[in-house]
Amino acid sequence: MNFKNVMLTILLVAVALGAANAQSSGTSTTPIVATKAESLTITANAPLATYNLGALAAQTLNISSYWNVNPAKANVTICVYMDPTTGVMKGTGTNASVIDQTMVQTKVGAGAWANINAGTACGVAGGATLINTYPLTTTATRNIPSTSPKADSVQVQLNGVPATYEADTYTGTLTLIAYAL
Amino acid sequence: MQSLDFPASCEVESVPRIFVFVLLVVAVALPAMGQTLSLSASSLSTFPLTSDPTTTQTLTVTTNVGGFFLVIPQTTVCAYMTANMAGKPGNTGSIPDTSVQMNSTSIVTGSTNCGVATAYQIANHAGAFCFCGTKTYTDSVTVRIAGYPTTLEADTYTGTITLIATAQ
Repeated sequence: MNFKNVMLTILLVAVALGAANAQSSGTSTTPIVATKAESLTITANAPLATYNLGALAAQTLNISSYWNVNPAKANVTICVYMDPTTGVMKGTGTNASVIDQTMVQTKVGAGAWANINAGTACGVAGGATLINTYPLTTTATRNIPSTSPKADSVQVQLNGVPATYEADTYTGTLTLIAYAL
Repeated sequence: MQSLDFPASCEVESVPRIFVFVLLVVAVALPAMGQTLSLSASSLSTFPLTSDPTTTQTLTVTTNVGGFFLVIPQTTVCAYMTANMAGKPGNTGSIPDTSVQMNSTSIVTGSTNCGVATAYQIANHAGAFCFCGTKTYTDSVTVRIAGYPTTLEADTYTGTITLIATAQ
């Protein structure tokens, strides 16, 4: 074997051995992100019974609510209001008389009676009754499960309904709202 | 300058001695010094936590193995996480790294792959002869989140998947 062949043999062996014994690694990272959306649920435990316009009496509206909101939120407020456009109580047929938000009053706890839309709360432009405010300071307060809802109540009465109103059934809608901010 | 003193009996006709020597040195040095191993990965979109398991996404990993002379070594591509997916400050909840799945298997395997404990092996490419200089491998793996806590707070949860390739 001449010198050239010897060197070429050594070369090939060296290459093979070098490659076989070498070890290297490289790394990279990629972010993984997931989001859980906010949710708030509020319901009346039972609808209000029909008011007798001839013998008005206050009723209690019981409310259940639960939510799951972002850590950035500071409070959840619970409100009720009557939408002046879609919520007023209307009679049937050609009866044009309505029982509007100025004739519906609310009372929270030991507070005073006030028109249902007199307060400023829950981001409702036309006003609302603030029923409760829940500070959100911990995960436990920001994440209220449906199995352990918060319970609130508000008294509701009709007041100042004109006695001249036609005999009829007047139906409207109160809107409950749970608002996180 | 180091002198080369080859035996007088050696027959070197067409290849100069110094050229052969330099080639030998370079050949031996290349595998040990010039190896490059780089990875890149496609981006994952945000997983909405509206179902469990979540929808599946595909992560594509590109591995470039270079600097080897003639022989491309066996190359293994793996992924792992070293921490849970965390929410924003104040949120004590998290998505466990064990809930991150690749090809429907937890990324936390409990097995050592690519020299990393509990890593998931995405691919294993056998060694081969190659005159290409650099070999590129493209591997795909599905990613999803499964078995996360149902009581998670509404939030954005962020984690990091580390990809690693080893050549040997």
